[in-house]
Amino acid sequence: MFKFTHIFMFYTLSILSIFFSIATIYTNKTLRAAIFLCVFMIINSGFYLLLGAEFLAVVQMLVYVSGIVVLLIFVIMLTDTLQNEDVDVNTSRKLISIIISSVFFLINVFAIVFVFPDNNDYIINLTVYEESNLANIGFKLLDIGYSGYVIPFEIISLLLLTSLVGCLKISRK
Amino acid sequence: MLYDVISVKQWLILTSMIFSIGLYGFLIKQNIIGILISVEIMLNIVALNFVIFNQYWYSDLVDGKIMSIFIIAIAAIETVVGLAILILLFRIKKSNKIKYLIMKQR
Repeated sequence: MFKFTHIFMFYTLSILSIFFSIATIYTNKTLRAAIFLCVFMIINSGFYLLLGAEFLAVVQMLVYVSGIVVLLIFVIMLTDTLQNEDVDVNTSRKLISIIISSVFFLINVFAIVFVFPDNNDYIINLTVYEESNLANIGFKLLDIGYSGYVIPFEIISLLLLTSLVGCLKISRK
Repeated sequence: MLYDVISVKQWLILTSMIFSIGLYGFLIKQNIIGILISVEIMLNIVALNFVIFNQYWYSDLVDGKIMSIFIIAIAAIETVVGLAILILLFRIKKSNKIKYLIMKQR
């Protein structure tokens, strides 16, 4: 029963995710694209829950759905004119884009199906997995040892402050 | 018990498909908001891919999840700076097409 639920959720979320990503790209109106992007982010949060990464699902909901999408909708409403929609995409550009992205996808599928190792050596140890939860992420982010991430953490905090000051400088009159 | 149900190849084919859709949107869009939305799709899927590799190979470590948190932070910074540049461009040119970003030098 658990296996069936897991497979059903995986395929349902996959179909919904592909559908909403295509809809995000396909619409000409940017506000609809932002709403479809919001739904796509919520489905991705479901993927994180399916993989067993609950903290990242919460971070996804907080940062993307309630932060970035709301910011995008504000900017779309601020810069809304009638000439903003894509009406004239010429055919050759569309054809070249389809060729590039489909070639990329086919190369990826070839590499995954034929080149990727298919042995079962990497069996998940679930007792270890139960212990590596949120507290371990916090310890690893502030670890100053060999495998710690304290320097990228500090650099990202500095980058956030820089982007805040830079956005104020750029966008004020 | 959870990880022999769905193999890692199915996850990887799914993420490569959505990344290709985002790449197509990045190449085809003409306004800046559409390009930013496509970049958001691609970055989101790459963060998901880090978590997939972490959970399937090294599930006793948390390095992939930390990389995903860094990717999310960088994506937020990139979106905010891009939208500020878009507001400045809209104040000057009254449009948000990408072709107006190329200023004439002389």
